[in-house]
Amino acid sequence: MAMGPRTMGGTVDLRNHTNTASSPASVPAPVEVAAPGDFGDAALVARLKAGDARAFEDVIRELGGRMLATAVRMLSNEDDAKEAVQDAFLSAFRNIQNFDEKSKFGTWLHRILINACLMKLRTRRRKPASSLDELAERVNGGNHAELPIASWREKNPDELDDETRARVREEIQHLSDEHRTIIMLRDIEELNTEETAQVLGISVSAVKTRLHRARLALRERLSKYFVESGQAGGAYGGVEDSRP
Amino acid sequence: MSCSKGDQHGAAHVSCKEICQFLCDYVDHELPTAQRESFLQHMRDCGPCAEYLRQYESTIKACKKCMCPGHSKPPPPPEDMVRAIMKAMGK
Repeated sequence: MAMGPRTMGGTVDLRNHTNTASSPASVPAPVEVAAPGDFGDAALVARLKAGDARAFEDVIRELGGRMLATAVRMLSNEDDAKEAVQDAFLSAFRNIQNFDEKSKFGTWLHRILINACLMKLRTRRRKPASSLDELAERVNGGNHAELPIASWREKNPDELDDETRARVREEIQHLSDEHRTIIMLRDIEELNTEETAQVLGISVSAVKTRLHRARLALRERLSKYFVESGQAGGAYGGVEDSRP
Repeated sequence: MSCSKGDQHGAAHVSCKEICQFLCDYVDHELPTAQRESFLQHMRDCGPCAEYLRQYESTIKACKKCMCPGHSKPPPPPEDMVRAIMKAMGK
């Protein structure tokens, strides 16, 4: 799928604006990602472009709930999430004349939301990497043999109970912003590596490295939980002891 | 076949350290065919690496399972948010 990192359908990239309240988030290129809904309807877009207030409200009511859920997952804070959703809608509506309808409206709007969330993350104080994140980075710099590996006997991820699901979500929210964001973009929003690199303004190589570290950080957190909750088997005391 | 910390398998020619570097590309289906074969050979030979891979994949699956919205319709947006957006739009 073709995408331009800076423009879409003639819209401008507003990435460098720092005041998200008055400056809308950048308008990303269209990609077929998990969209909050199919609003590719030409009639609706025509109403939006004509400035039909009812059309704006219809879109907010139809897509606002799912957009808010996405923003909460990315920002871990409902107030910030609401602001990001508002920024995204305002950005989309103000740039609606530039929407060229080559992608679904919902997809376009979703990408604007992702950028609004990233703006929000950039402007709030960064959450420092936790000790477990740092631990994961040690792994990345060496190999698994440098850390004990708990042998998980956790249930199939398809069969996780409510408590475990809640704990997994909690552990994800406790990742550093940088790690949580890359996991959200790649594993949840399902942007590909190149798209993620463009959205974050980093290299493909940096995306891979950051994603790997983020997954390792989460693995360490979940491993700790599974061990503490008795859902893990005996830990490998070290690779030397556990090799066949 | 066993391998010691950081050494290489004779057959696969991939060390445990290199495996860590390939892990992300492997699960994202971005590993070139030749490296994929070496990676899989290492996994067949190295129990800890195989367990490590399993945990890595389980982590991603658990994350998706717990965070993906699925196909259910989400709750409607809060009324205060709708009103705030419309007000900001001057509508």
